Amino acid sequence: MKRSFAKVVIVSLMLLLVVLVFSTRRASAIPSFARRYETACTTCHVLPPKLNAFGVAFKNNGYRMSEDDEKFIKQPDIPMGSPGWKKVWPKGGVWPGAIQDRVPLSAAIELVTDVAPKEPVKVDFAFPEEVELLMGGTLGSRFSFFGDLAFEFEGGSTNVDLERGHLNMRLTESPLLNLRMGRFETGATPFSRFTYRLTDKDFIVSDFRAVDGGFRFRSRQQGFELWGAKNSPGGGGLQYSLGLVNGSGSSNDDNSHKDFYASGSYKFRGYGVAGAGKPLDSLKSTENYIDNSVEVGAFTYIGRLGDSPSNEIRYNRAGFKVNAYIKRLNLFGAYVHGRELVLESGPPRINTNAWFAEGDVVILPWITGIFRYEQAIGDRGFLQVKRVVPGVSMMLRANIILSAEAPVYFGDKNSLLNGGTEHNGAAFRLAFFF
Amino acid sequence: MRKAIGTIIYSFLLIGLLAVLVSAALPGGGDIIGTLTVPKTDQAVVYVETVTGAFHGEHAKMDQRNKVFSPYVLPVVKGTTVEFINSDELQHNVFGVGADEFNLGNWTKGIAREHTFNKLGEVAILCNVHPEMEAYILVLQNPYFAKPDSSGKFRIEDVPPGEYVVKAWYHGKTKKQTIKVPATGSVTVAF
Repeated sequence: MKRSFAKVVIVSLMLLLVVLVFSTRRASAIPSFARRYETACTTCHVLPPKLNAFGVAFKNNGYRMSEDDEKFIKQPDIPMGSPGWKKVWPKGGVWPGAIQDRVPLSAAIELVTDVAPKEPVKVDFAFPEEVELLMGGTLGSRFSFFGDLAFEFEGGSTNVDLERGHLNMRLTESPLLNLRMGRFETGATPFSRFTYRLTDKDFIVSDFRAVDGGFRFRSRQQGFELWGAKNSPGGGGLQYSLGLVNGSGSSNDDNSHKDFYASGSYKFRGYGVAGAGKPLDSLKSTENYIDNSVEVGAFTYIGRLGDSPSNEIRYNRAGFKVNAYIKRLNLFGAYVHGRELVLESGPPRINTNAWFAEGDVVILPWITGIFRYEQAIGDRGFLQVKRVVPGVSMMLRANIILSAEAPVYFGDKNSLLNGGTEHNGAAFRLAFFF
Repeated sequence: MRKAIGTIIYSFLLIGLLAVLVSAALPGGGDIIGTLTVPKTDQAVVYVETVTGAFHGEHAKMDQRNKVFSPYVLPVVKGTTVEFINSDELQHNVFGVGADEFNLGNWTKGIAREHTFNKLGEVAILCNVHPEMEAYILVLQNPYFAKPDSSGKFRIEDVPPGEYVVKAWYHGKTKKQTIKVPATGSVTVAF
């Protein structure tokens, strides 16, 4: 009896160890905000990098508290001209600004172990797999910025990628109208891989391409975006974005045609998308994952790749999303319909349908369970995916995350993603931020 | 001896009568007390917007020390002459924009220059040598104003009874409330 029990315990621990191995999730929690306000990561994150409702409002306010920001800042800005100079401008003087007292730089390091029974390398240690430099903050009361420089280590090579780098200008007193310019994840992306995703596997609706080298939402774009957020009296509120970007697939834009996108969503109840709407007594770091609400949204994206009729790809995407919070459970998902017009070869029109549904449950404040079902099917046999992605993510500390996932494909014929075959496996990741 | 005692008693009675007459002639009034919740209470002012009567400005001072104007906000009655003093080793300038516009030029340590504020409203006080310096002078219609203490509490004393608009000023923004001041006692207001 005792030996049987011991075996069960040992096998369970080994399975847990195996499960813990890989999840490569792009880091997007930024400790420099925690330093600026001397508050814990859980003030803004359910579990880094996933934002809670307060964190969404913080981001919508240009990385500021929505109310009484001055009250909560522990590292006062260095003024470049006092506010009184606004009365002097434009005839005399420069409009006053400010820079942060300390360089708003943070780092994230990810250690990953992949288990892939069907790959030539069945167990692979990537220590580290990625090192990210994250920077974000404000420049006075109307400007803010965010940057994300990633160093990825694969085999013996190092890839450097500016994942995001953008400046934001608030055009109105409230966050209703903002202009973002730079390199960023578009507002039309159904669910952000940087501020919402808890798994290494990206949401299929963001990850799929309909054709080789074609567009996908996860590609960062360069251009301009008008966006905003406004509270509604009953909680929640409206969010929208309109963008004009270069457009890119697997390579940079190679034509003068610009991509256009638009998105809008409305949140019923819950924390205001632009903030509490009233002065805050203090910052709260606990149970911020509870935000009973439902958000519905829609999006569209239209663009073109290629510089001549022989290699031109015209594409558009349209879809909708739902995001519901019920106590500790977050149920969300999106549907995307894609249409490509390719003149080079094969049937010119390619239709793609992709969707996913995910449930994240906060089991304990430091453990979140994840279960996702998703599928994507395209016309040309380039894309056919059906899989589930179960996982778990744990905060060993607020800034040390241990996570695991084990994607399972519904047979070999349902594991074709972007022209390549995916395999069942597991991923464990240890990520820490400072 | 009797005459001396009588004179003394008579004098005290006369003084007492004069005191009663003077206090009767002085305007009575209540106090406005309350609390203002702001991050830096020493940079706020609470004041009664308009009170019937004629009020005269006096003298006030504003210092420049360690590249900071002190106080940050100075409430004065219209007609007040403010003396600007340079207490720093380096040159400073003083110019005003807003309800009143003026430029007193640049000067060195120990020297003071004056300006009389004859227009109601908010005046931003700046230094064109050091753009990070700023202060505000609120030119008010009457002397019924107060600055909160470190806990945000304030008291405006002896306000004539009546209905008034009370305003709280902080960093260029104001909030207001309408209150009734009693003939005696106090009324409480919170911002």
